[in-house]
Amino acid sequence: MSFLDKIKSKLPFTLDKEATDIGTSVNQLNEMASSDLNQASASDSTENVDDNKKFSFGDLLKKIKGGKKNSSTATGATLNEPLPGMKIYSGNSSAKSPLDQDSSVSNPLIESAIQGEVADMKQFLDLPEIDESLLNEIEPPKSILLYILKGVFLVFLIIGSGTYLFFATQLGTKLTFLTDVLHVPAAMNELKNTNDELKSAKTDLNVYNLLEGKFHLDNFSFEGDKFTRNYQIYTNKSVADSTRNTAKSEMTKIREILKSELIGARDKLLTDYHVTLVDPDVLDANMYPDIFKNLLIERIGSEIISREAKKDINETRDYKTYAQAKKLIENAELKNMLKTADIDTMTDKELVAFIIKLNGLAENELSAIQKIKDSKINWSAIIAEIKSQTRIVDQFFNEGLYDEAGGIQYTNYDFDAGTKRITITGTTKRYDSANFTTISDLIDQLNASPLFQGVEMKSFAKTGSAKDGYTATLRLSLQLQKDELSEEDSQLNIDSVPDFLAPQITTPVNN
Amino acid sequence: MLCLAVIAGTLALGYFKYSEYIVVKAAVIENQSYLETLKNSVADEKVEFQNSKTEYDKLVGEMEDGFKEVFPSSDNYTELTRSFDLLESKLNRVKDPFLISNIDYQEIQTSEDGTYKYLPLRMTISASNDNFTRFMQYIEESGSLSEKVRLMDIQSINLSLNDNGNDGVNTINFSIKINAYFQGNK
Repeated sequence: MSFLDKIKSKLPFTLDKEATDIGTSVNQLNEMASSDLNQASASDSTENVDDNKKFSFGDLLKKIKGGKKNSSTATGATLNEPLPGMKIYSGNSSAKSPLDQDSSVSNPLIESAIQGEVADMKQFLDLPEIDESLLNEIEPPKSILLYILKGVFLVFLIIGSGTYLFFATQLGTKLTFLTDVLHVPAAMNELKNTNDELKSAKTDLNVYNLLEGKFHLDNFSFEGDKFTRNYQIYTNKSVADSTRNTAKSEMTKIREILKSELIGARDKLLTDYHVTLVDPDVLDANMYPDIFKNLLIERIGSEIISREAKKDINETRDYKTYAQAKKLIENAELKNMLKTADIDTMTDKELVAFIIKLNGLAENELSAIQKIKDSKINWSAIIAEIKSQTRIVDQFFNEGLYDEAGGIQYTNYDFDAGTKRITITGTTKRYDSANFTTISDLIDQLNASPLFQGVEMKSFAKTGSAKDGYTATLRLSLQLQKDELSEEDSQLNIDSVPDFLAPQITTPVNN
Repeated sequence: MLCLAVIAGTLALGYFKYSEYIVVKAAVIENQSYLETLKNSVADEKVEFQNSKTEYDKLVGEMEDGFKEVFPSSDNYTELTRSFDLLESKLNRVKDPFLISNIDYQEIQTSEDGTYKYLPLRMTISASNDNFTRFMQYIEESGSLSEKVRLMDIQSINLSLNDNGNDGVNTINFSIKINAYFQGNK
């Protein structure tokens, strides 16, 4: 179908070339057509409506041509003369046609004439067809605006396609073959590559930081072990003063080292282990800590695997170091301890507790040792406490004067770490027969000690005479308060051992 | 209309994609800049790490030596027995006696969490008051890597105080139950 055919098919009427040749203006024809139709519709009522809709310009031309033939052959009328049965009003547009007049004036005569004309018009419909192939030679009207629009459309189409291709290659990953072939760098690929490089470099840095943090922690544990030992010596009142003083000065030195190691561990382990990147695959920036943590775990894991089967001592050491370091990565409690700890404000006892707790969390070899040490009972300190409390009741206790002056003598101690129960067996000797008072004083005195509770002896018995003195058997049962032990130890002071000469709290011994 | 749609589409595509492109390019430039800094940091940290590791290896060596004595990988009871004999020879004096008359090793036990094992043993000792105290401190201070004494813990003590013997020295006879620790499987 040619362009012309397309246009023709779109038109609401059929176009005939002869229409132009005839010399009749289109306006005139239209007026004629409309007047005919009006007449037809007025007379034929509804059945003519469909016929009117089918009216075509070609039909009108047929009518004209038919009229021309008739006029030229039969009557010899000119073209401008009205066709038979038709009235053409040309030139003066203001003049009204008879049809228009019909609408306002009802004249039976005119109506009759119009009806006659309609009957004549029906005859025109049977005229022969016009050769429409002649229309093929007609070209569509040429428009500059249309050409401009076409040009703009094409330009923008090309620009749009180019833009899409450019950004698809730069920002997408599906057309990378194009950039590869053209050796053009793609922005998104560059971003991905630099992101990968950054991740790798940051993970390298994280590995070094983690291992160095572990070194500091292990140093802290090692020095902490020394500090704890010296603390035990310093707080044990059964140890000589000079030894305790040496232990104290050692503790002061070690405290500084511990402080330095703690700061080192804090710097290395609490530093930022991630960077925030521009990555279209990561929708939430809060995911980066986990991303870098997983990368670190993966890297440390590969280091562990590579050393698993090695027998070399250095490789074995490194294997242990990496394995223990891996546990630090997700140790939030340890990191929180490091963050909040301030050694300067800690007492010695608090520092020991901190060392023990940190060793437990650090999970190195020392942590197992520390766990055992933490459960140990300092029995010598307990024995010293029993003696100390006994001396408050008997100022000559353990001075070798029992036979002559009387007092308290222990013959047997039984300590059980499992039940934390202590049983003391002994005797009391009094020349005034107040043995039961002595025993009662001793029970009260031991109960007053924060180390013991539940000190009791429910059965009292004594024998003897005023001459040889009265003797009562002693069997005390004490429950150890382990939690109070370290607290008491820290307060113990050799100088605070009771004043043996204080008469108001000692049991008078009757000679 | 089609022309307008194409123009609008092209402009919209250009605007949005260009914005995205600018962000990506800026990120690339920033990445490249940060990468340089990071690589320098890694190089510095590597040097620091190597220095620290040298020191750390010394520490680990020292700790391992300590662990062999303090927290061995096996019960190592023969070494433990020798250490008791060594202590006895250090403490035992005529006027200040310390005599281990009996050592009885029992079955090896494992801790509940499997992190360590221990060898229970019973000892019967006769000692002066001072040596009794020294022995107690020896056990209590055990487990220090600096002193390298096998990690031990007193479970129970039963002691009797005697009057002066023939030599005029007060002695304490005591029976003591001790756990000697060593490394577990975990």
